[in-house]
Amino acid sequence: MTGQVKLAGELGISVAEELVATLQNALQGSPQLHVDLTAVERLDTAAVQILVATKHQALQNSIAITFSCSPAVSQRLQSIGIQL
Amino acid sequence: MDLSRFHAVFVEEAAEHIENLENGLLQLEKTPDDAELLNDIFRSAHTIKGSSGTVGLPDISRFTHVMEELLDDLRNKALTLHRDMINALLEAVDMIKEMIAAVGDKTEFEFARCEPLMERIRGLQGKQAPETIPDQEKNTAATHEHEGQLFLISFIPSPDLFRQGCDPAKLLDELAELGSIESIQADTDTVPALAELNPETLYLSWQLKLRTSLDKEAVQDVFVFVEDDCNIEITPLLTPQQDIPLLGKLLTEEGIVSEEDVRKALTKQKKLGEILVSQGKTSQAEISKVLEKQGVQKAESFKKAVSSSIRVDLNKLDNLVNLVGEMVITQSMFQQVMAEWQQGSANGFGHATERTDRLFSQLQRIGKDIQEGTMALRMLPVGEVFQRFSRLVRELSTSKGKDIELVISGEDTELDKGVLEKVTDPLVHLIRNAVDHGIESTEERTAAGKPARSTVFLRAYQLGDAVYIEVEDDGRGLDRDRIIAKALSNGVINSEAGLSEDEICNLIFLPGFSTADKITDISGRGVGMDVVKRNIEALKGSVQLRTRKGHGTTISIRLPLTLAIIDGLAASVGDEVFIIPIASVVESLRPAQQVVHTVEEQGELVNVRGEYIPLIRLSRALEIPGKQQNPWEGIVVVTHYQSRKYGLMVDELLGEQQVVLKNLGSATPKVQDISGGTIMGDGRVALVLDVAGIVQMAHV
Repeated sequence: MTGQVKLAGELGISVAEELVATLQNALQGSPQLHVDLTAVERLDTAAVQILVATKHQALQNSIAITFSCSPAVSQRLQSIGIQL
Repeated sequence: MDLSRFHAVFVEEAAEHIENLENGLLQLEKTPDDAELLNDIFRSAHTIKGSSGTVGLPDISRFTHVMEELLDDLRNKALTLHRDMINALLEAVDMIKEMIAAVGDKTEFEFARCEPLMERIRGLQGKQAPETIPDQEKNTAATHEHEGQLFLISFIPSPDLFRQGCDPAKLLDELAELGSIESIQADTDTVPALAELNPETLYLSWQLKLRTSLDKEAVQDVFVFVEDDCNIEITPLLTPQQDIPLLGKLLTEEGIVSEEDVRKALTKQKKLGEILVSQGKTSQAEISKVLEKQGVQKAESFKKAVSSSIRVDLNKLDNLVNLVGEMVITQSMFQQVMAEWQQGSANGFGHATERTDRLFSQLQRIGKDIQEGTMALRMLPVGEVFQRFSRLVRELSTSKGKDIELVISGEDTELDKGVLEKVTDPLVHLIRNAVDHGIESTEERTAAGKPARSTVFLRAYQLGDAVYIEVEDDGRGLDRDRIIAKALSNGVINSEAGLSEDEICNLIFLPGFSTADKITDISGRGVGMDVVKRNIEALKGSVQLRTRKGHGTTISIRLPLTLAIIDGLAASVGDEVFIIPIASVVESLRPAQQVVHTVEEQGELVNVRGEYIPLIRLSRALEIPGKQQNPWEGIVVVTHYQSRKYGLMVDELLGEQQVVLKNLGSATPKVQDISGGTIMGDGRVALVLDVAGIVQMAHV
């Protein structure tokens, strides 16, 4: 069973707390998680950092995590040199 | 995120950079070869551009960008500086001021107003207006794709960067605009798992390679806002096309050092000075001398303006906090002594009294130090205000077609901030007057055999308990006859008989007095010297004018050093106690009967060691009955005023003490001989004498 979480709009430091809560929730339960970022229009470094932390958490909890990115997300990740 | 809450901070910060820009540009006109100064100006412009962008004010950012480009071309020596550029840049500074003022007032600024000036600046740069600036930047970046220097940049940001409202992605984007990023890698290992993550802390750091045609400094400039608390290393790397010297190659081949090390070593460029020294072209001592001079010049060229807040040296503040701490300790020690006293301590009262004495003198010392420290916080060098007059004179002389130099001296003289602020407007007025009316046209000057270039002196100095600010011009001087004619027609005086030269000149301080034949945009708008005089008098100061026809005019403003606390000499006359400010006291003595002389209808003189000093009996001057009728029975306090000495006769000296000067309040009319009142230790009210006023009233 694959858990899924879909994020949309602008992800940034102003919504960081909510984002952390959403992702923490998503990490409960299923052994697999897919994070859908295809509807994300913009994200800042703080949001990227949360995604990285989510990946680290998944690794710790032995959860297989995958991401799908919108062009905006891919571009941002590339510009700051991060592979999810 | 709502960025407008950062606007107030931005406005305050920008004010400082604008001042830097303005003063820097004026200085640059005088020393066009000062590369360091140009760099400073550039950095200020860059800072305004960057921070306005960060807080969501793209218009200011766009406008400053154009300025910055011109400055950059100057910096790279692609253009040489000329007066048109300084003019345009100064106008641009004014425009930014307006834009920032609009931000402060939360009003709209119409960006279209900037267009003509932006066009002009681009024209000076020899550029056509580009469609949009970022596009142009990208184009230039693209052409440089495979040339230029490769930099290895290690960027370890401060963990607090998010909290400072900064997104490192923006910095990285800015870097990308400088050229092309060949590789970038973020270190994500330091990011904890989600459960331990503090989303407001930045854990990431970066390593990247940037290829750009710009120099290291330009790359460094990207980090200008964050460099203080971030760890940034920018290492220029040699590109493979560049030759590595044979030795380096051999060392690498033999496996002694890595290629990277050789490249790094090669880029460690020596400083210009060191190279010249090693070539025997100059000595280390000479280099240091020039460097020192450079430092001094740099420091001199930047004086900040007075703002509504005050910047305080942290040491001064720490010192005060320490003193307050000491005071608290002394207080609790007092408490302990009091407690012992109440218990009727076995040690007897003697011991306790001795301790009280000691504690008291300690408290006295602390109190004095705190007072001095607090006063020092309010004192500012006048240079902060003087500096901006350079701009004023420059603009005025251009608009009047006169060649005028402003010579400033005594910038370090300190004045209370409140006084300094209020004296600015009168000074502007005086300087305008000097430029407009005082200085003749160039033709007139040449005809009179004077140098075509005229000079306005602005100087400040401290003398006794007052600070003097003088505005002097070498112009035509006041026209005595015109003043008299005007005064007669205005009905200010009935006849010129009995008026001294000085008195005639000082008529111009009367309300509604202007001798200017025509009204110009600089002065003569009905705001006369009377306003200047009123403003200065409101500060407990006075204005004096000296003039010599054909040689110029000097207007001297005398301002009290501080408004609040003075050292005073308490003296009694009859039943009253008066305070004479210590700063104007030279000595006090009881003269022998034979050294007191009376001059017919002129008053009395005291011979003090061969010097004849006019004697003013305070009881007569103040019209109160004194106890002593003869100077040899009372005390003569010798005071000085405007480099002359005057003896004030009092009944008795009570001692020296510090007093808090209080205004007499609006209920009392303006009294010339009293500068205020104070409350003595015993609760009595004493009046503080104004020596200048007394001397003037006594007509000696």
